[in-house]
Amino acid sequence: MGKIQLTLDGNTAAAYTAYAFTDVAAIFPITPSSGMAEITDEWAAKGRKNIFNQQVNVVEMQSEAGAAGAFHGSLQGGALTTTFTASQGLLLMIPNLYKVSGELLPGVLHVSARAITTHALSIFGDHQDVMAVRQTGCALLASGSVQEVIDLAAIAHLSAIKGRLPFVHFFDGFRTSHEIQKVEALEYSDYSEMVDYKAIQDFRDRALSPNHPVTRGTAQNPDIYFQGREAGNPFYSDIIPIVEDYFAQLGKKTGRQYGLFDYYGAEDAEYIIIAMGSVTQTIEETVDYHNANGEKYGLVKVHLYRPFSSKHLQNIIPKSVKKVAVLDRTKEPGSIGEPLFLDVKGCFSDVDHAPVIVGGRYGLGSKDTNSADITAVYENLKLKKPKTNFTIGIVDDVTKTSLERVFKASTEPSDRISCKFWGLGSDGTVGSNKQAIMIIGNKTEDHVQAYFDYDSKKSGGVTISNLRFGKSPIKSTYLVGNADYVACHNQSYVNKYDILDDVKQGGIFVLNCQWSDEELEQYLPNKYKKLIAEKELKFYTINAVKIAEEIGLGNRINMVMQGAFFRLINILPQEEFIDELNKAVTYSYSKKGDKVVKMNQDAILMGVEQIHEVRVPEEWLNVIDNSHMEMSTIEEPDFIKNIMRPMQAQKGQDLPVSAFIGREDGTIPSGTTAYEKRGIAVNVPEWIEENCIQCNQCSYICPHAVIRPFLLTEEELNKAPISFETVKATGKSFEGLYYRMQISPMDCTGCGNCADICPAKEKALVMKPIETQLSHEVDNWKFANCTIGYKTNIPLGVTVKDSQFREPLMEFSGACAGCGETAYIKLITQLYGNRMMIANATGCSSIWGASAPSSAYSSNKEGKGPAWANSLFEDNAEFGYGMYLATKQMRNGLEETMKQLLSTNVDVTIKELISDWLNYKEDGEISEQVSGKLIDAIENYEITDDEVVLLLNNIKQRKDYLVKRSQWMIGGDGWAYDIGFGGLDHIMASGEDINVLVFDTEVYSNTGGQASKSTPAAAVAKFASSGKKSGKKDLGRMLMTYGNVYVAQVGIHADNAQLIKAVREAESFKGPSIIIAYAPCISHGIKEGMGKSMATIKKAVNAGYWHLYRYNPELSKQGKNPFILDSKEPTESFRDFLMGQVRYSSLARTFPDEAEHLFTKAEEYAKERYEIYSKMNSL
Amino acid sequence: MSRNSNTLSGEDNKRLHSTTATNKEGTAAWANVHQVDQETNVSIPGDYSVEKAKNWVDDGSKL
Repeated sequence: MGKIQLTLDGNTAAAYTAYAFTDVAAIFPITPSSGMAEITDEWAAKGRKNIFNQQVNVVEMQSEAGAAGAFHGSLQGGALTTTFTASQGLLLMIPNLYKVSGELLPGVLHVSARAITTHALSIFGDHQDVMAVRQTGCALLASGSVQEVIDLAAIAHLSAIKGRLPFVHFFDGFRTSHEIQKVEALEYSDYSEMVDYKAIQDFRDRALSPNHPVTRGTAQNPDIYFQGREAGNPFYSDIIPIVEDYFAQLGKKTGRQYGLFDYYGAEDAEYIIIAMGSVTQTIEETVDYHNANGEKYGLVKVHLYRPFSSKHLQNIIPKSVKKVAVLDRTKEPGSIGEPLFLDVKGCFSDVDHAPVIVGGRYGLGSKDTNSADITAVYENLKLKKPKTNFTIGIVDDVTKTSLERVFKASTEPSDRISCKFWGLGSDGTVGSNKQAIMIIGNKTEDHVQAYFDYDSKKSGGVTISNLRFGKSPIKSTYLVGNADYVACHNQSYVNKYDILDDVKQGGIFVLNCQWSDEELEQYLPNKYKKLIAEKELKFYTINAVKIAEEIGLGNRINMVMQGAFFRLINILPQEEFIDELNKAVTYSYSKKGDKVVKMNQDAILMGVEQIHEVRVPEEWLNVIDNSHMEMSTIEEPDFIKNIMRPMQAQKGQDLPVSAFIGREDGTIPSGTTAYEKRGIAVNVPEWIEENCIQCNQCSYICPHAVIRPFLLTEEELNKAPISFETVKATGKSFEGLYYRMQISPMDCTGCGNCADICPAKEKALVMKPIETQLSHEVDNWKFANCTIGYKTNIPLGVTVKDSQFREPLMEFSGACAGCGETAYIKLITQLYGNRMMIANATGCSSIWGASAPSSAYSSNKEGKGPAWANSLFEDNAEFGYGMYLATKQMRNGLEETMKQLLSTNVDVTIKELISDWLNYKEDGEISEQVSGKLIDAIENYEITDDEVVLLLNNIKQRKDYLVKRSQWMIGGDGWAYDIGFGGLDHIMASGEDINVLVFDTEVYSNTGGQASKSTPAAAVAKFASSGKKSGKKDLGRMLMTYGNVYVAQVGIHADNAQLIKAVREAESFKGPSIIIAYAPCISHGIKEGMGKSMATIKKAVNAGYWHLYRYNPELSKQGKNPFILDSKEPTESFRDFLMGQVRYSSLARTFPDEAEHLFTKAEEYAKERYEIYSKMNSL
Repeated sequence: MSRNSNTLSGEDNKRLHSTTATNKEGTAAWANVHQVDQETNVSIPGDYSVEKAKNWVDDGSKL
């Protein structure tokens, strides 16, 4: 028997144990569970063996429903099968869970429990998903800490095998799944000693086999179905002693005793809480604190939730208990109580002198639940009539469910050190903090905890690292709120976030900034100065950016900040921590060469030596907060003022429920990103007017709609700011007008694509430091966008250039700098945005499009713009189709009404307009003009004929549907090629006038780079770590086989004219259309950087990697070949294209034997595809 | 038809004139400057930073 000490997160802990017992893992990635499958796959690739001396076979399916089917089939085939999932993914498995439990199969699901999408999507943790499967017949086992995960995961597998029931082993998403702790693990040999090999053999003997064939999954009728269902009852009573026995065996090996329910606290407790999951840790800490001060509190931790043993629960509760609060981390609207509460109530329903039992909700969507909230629960119990159906952690001033947080003290042990680091995604802060906690965990006797809090931006979001360490076990499963050390690694954050709210009196504050002490006086906001003085903080600054640059590390500040951290936190002697950090650096960077290792080691030393303590002037105590925003008298819209600004300042958790009155259905306004003005960029483009050829290509490709051409009359020009330089506009339609290419520097990400692609002989755009542009361009932007606007009275053609004079109705999204997706949909909103409906699949595009409070889809001056909604992932095609059906039905009703009106005595002018509407109702632009005139005509029209009045009122009531809508379903390749393909295929077969746009990044970008069926051969991705073996699915060609579907494959900047042609043809085609758009992504690892993401698209086409074509069924009707191959014979090297991206080039490093063969295969597939297209083109 | 409380213009905006950055990404891996295009001053990050940026979206940000 061995015990291993590991420092890891909950996901890795679950995977560690699961691996031992698993033959096959059938999975589909979903946050926050994906890590379990990924690490399992990684271990398998590296040759780790399970207890059967085999590597686990990990298979990625097309969806969780597919994974569940494979899970079921694999079990019936005799393999011990596991899956990892969460949230909607678990729900998609429900039908199979009934099957697996009904057929008594020992499958195990490890679930990082996550919220269900209701009024909004949440990737964060709660128990809504596992509660939605509690009736499926699976056993449910709950873990509340990383240690429990690694322990109870084994119980799940062992019990499933012996007891023939599937187990859902769950733990809190993010709070446990992503929390790093130091834990003790058993060796696989221990698991082997515990497992019932006879039960495994019996299982394998029962497997489907032609050698002893049986029939399973029959249909049954009323005569026997019920009896058959009840025949399984003994397995549910028998599983309880099996679980108990394994708890006992585990206890013998580890010294840790678990029960179906565990009691903690006063033996003579009067007030107890019953709960499960990570909150039990916080409750233990709170109980310890209050019991030490004379209270009698207790806690029952639920481990085995299903089957639920009333007897065990009754026995574990001290007889002294008078009142019980049950905490549920789920919500069941319309019920009399949440599930665990009802179970506990049911337990005591026929017990004499039962305690008073109340129930409450907490922690939905990872809402932080701390000791103040738990104290409130106990205080509530002390009331004569405790509140039930309560909530904690929020302020519910609408239905008054919330308990108030009154308790203010910290329940954390005094020997604890807590730290909080504010960083930027990819700046190395998170990685360094993980490293730091490993070092502290491994080199000291301390218990350690690391938890990382992110916002939802894929790259460039705020990261907040919460670290704790100390002699006492860490049970604080909540965010650090009383930190000894707070560091801000991004100078600009002091202008937005109240970082010092969480630092304790006398604590340490470290600011990475370029300011000298004198400049601090000028630039550090007064509210910071005041708090530093009031809290008597030890205030340090360091110019980590300058140090990193001087050393040769560019902008990589993380090791500088690490050196500073270890020096100030004083947890290890200097020599020791420098040695440990140096070792870590050597481990991380040795493959990059000695020079890189040395630079990082120098960075550590510089961090130690150059951290500078600021002498805090006494005057800072008396400064007045004079932030510009507070001073402004502008009255912002309610949503911005009351919801968006607090959320942006990381104060959203303080918003009461009433803030959402009127928004109960999750609706947020469109166009809110315009209010952000984040100032992301280091450099922004400066327009050199004399070089500009007014092609507007820069605007066309701009991912964030921050550079736009404007046309001005002479009169308008006279009102322009002095710095608003213009040139005469070129082009017949623009005679007499002036032209300017205007940048919005505060919205620009600084990617540089605009400058890169500028085709002018001498560049008309050059990147300049943002500080040199702000003073005039901010005002110039305001003038251009708000005063001048977008001229609708100029006849604009169908060209690339003309399209850019139209207002984009998708702007300033949260997409990464240089994102390859956004410009496509931006263009479509410029052409059709005023009458557009968008169904957006979950994925990057839904996150950058609309993560509350930011909505990138906006409206024009008339208030018209894309109506946007996200349903789920798998159903996006159907969701958009449903929108279309609703519109069609309403318009059919209008058509009927119109036809009836034609036969009445309504005014002849109105009849003419009605005829026009009937003739042109399917034409977007004409229907818009006609509808406007028709509404004007009937608005105040008076007639005494009741029938006519009724018919006219029908039209007025449905006037919203008069203009032909442009229905779009958009999403990534994860949706279109995989999980949503069934639905996509179905709507493409419908023949209806719908449009699909696929952002093809060739990988599941949003969930962390898992392979899709769009991933080409040789690409490295999760679940294809040695390069994808199979080729890329040809989605376009599959859909062409319908014959009546418009299909186009496009690449912006590779052929801008082809793109706009395809968009217009697709939209005007009176049937289903699909545009598949190549979208470079940060996940590709483009070596030239995201500033050349557009250039990459051109290279892709020139190298024959991506092809441009259009398949237009309209041409068939004209007797022409419907297929047009738009891209030319490749002229550039395919291999060079691959090697220009880490997703390919890394294969040569990691699997050199495979690489050459796969690269050759990839090129063959691409050539073959081009040949097929060429043949189709020549028919 | 004109805008209502659910279709915002971005004009009644306290940050419309702001020149103060709140979320500068100068330290992001994608923004590292290893080389600079001489003509446009567009920065090119270098292999290590490209890998770091990729690693962040694949493993770090985890949405």
